[in-house]
Amino acid sequence: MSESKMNQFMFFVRRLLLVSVIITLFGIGLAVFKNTLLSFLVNDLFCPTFWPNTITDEGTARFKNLILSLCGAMMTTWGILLFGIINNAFKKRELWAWNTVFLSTCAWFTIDEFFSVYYHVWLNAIGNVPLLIMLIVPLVMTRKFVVKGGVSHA
Amino acid sequence: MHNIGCKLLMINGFLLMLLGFYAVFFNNTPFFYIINWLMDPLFWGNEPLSKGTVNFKIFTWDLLGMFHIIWGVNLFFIVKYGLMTKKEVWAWRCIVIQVVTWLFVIAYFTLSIGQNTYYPVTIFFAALFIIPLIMTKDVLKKRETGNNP
Repeated sequence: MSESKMNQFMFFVRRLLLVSVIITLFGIGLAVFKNTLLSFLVNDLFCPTFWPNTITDEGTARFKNLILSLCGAMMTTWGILLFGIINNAFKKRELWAWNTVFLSTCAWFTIDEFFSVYYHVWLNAIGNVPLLIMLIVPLVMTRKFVVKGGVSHA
Repeated sequence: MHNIGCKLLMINGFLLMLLGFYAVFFNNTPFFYIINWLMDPLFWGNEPLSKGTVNFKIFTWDLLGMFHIIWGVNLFFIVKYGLMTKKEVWAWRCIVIQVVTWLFVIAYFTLSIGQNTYYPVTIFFAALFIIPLIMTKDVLKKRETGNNP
């Protein structure tokens, strides 16, 4: 592969690495800082979709905190695995790595977007679109570079 | 030993996908009764839930299910190609970092809920990952050639 094509490939790999770091950090934020740093996002924008007035009972508040923390934790683990795949196998242009990132992106967007629209969680539905673009554009642009078995020195 | 550990991890990945599909597509059906039966009394006792809370429960179970599917897909392919076929050090380390992070959070929330009955469940799920990871740690003997996560 010529140097210019290699530079182009690495440009998009760096974008994907950045996205995986963003996913990881947002996951940590959701798990740990949902009632502090990210309170405006969670409590002021997200929660009114389900509870137009404030949450009154303690059980619901505890459940909300628990389940959002679990979602944050799962999102963090997604970011970690994504980073690992992109920083290693994807860099070596292995086809399975591209397929895995593409498949997980499709699973995330189709399910999350469908249920966000279905339950009128517009914040989530709109917020998913930039993340999708950030993932799918580098994936499309790097598809022609990946090969079965990869290359030894990327 | 290495291949058995890899196959166990791949089965875990496959089960995570199934668990994810179950949570996404069956969380508002009678098939999800057992989960609601276990979880609801911890938060609401016998009180009826508001419509907003019910919708929130359905939506967040969908999200959690989706994350399980993604985790299963990633785990399955990293193990199949990275760990089993190429015996890459990064693949093993990546799974360890991810599992340790997940276990740390799960353990924290199990403790925060304060239900002793959930400890064996957490330990069982921990063992499902830790045992195969120990069985596959021979990849660390291989000289490291690539980058690491």
